[in-house]
Amino acid sequence: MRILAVDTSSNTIQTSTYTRSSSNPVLPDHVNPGDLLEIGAYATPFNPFATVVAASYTQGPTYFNITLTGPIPAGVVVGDIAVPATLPSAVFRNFTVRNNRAHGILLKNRNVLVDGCTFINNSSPGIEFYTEDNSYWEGSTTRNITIQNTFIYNDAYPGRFSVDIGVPADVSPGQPAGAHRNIIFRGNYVMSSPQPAKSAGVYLAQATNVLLENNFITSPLNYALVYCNSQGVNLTNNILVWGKSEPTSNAIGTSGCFENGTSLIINANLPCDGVYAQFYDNPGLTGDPLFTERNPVLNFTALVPGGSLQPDQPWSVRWGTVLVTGSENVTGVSVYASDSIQVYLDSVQIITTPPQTQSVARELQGILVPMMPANTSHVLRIIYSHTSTEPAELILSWTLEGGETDVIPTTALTTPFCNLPLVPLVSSATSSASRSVSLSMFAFCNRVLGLALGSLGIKCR
Amino acid sequence: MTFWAGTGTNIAYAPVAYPGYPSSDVLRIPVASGITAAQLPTVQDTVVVTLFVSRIGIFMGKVTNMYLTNLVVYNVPGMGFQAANSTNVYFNNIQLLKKPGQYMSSVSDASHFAGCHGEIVIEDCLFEGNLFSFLPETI
Repeated sequence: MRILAVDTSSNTIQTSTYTRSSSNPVLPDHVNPGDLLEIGAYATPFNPFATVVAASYTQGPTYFNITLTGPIPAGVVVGDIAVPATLPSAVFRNFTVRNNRAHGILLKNRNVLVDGCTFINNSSPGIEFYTEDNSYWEGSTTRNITIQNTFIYNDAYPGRFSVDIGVPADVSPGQPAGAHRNIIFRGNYVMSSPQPAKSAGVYLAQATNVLLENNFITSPLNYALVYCNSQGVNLTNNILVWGKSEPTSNAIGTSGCFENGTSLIINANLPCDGVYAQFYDNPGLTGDPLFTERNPVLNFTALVPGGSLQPDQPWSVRWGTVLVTGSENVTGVSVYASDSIQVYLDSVQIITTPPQTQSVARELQGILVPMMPANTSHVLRIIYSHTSTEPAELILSWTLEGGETDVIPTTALTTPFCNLPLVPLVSSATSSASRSVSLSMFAFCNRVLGLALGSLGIKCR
Repeated sequence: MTFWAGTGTNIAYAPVAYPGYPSSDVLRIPVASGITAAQLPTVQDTVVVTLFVSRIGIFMGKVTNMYLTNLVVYNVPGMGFQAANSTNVYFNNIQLLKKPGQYMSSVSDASHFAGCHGEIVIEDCLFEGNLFSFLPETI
């Protein structure tokens, strides 16, 4: 809302919804007594300088008169922007959005948890935290966002990102950091579209205090990660794979990018072949993983997880990877499992068992309708819970159209594009901050990825 | 009226002005100015014409502690779900789907939360083929 008038004698501000550079009537109609409003200057609306509390309001034909609980803060003037800051929290668990001509989810609120979700084949970003000052002016700035254990695959149209957290660079490239604060992005798979000139991986702009850890982020023909005008960005144990050094859209790589980008920390990386496993020290995937590892295949006759797990301690594991079919069509997936298990293929549950306390090994069939065509890739996720004292058994197989059933080989569990040549992330900005970031990424490529992935035939250049 | 055309690599959008019917089996759709040739569909593209008629699958206005569970909604001519000025909304095992042969499950936002308070919890849900996004937002 834009402030139209200020009356210090009655502690009242007059506001109107502001869209497309003009004041519009009536919306919203939900300024409730007790609501917080954040007030920012028109030029920097995403970094509020004052917070006030609404005591009451009256609604006119094209405006609201909002009386505050206290005096109007110093510095508030006509033309400032007032944004509702009493926002609903949101939790998304096991939520799938696919084949949308739009986003997976478009979020404009605070205190958000996205956990174990799937966003696949959407034309806009799988996840977008959005606030802008160009069209609708309807997004509050965000706080306290956690996105974890989520697949974001083949989303976004050309020039956009699979995950977009920021003020759109083509709208407000000069906005400072701080619009989005306290972001945790961990344990996620982000795989951009393999189509030429399609989307890139993660875009982070105007953000402060960000942790990205244990993610696999790849873009075959564009950036894996871009961050602009952000501060306090910490990258830990991520795999970043990207195949292009120049952007395909003016929404990324603009002169506004990388300025003020500080605190880039890259500690290590993980290999990207096989199945990514997150082991928990409880049967319900609760809390943070105890440890993570890569399993080349899922073919265990007596699985005993490592880490600090005791032999008789219940545990659970979430496996995730991309399943790539070979030259034959695949008609079915089956597991031989001794515990409760759920198998998801392209976000559809194909195998499930009820919780159980006794280890009973049995074969479970998931018939694929339709079958998986040859030479296609699919998102595979498995949740396995072990509560007995016996070692776990698990064998993951597939049945080919010819009738042959085999353990799914490592060659089918290799995430696509891992063998692309890596190039340093280069900014078109010319500031010293830009150059330092580019050098950091170049050093990352040579020192970390070059060492760890050299055996996989992946080279830095 | 607007139309959207998807070619797999390109999504085009254009406002439509004054559709005409030169014959009984032809719908002529002139587009507004400013649309480039690259944005226009080509032969054999699928063109989805949408009317924003505000037919909402399920509307929740000024409700508190709303629970939606075990529900499948097909082909809504507008938003799938909308919650306005509501407090605490819970979705569990909700699906918004398109039936075979249909191109879209909804022709506006899959869901839209405006002016809500409390918490929004979405668990074990599946949405597909919507024209617009799933938006827990505020304005």
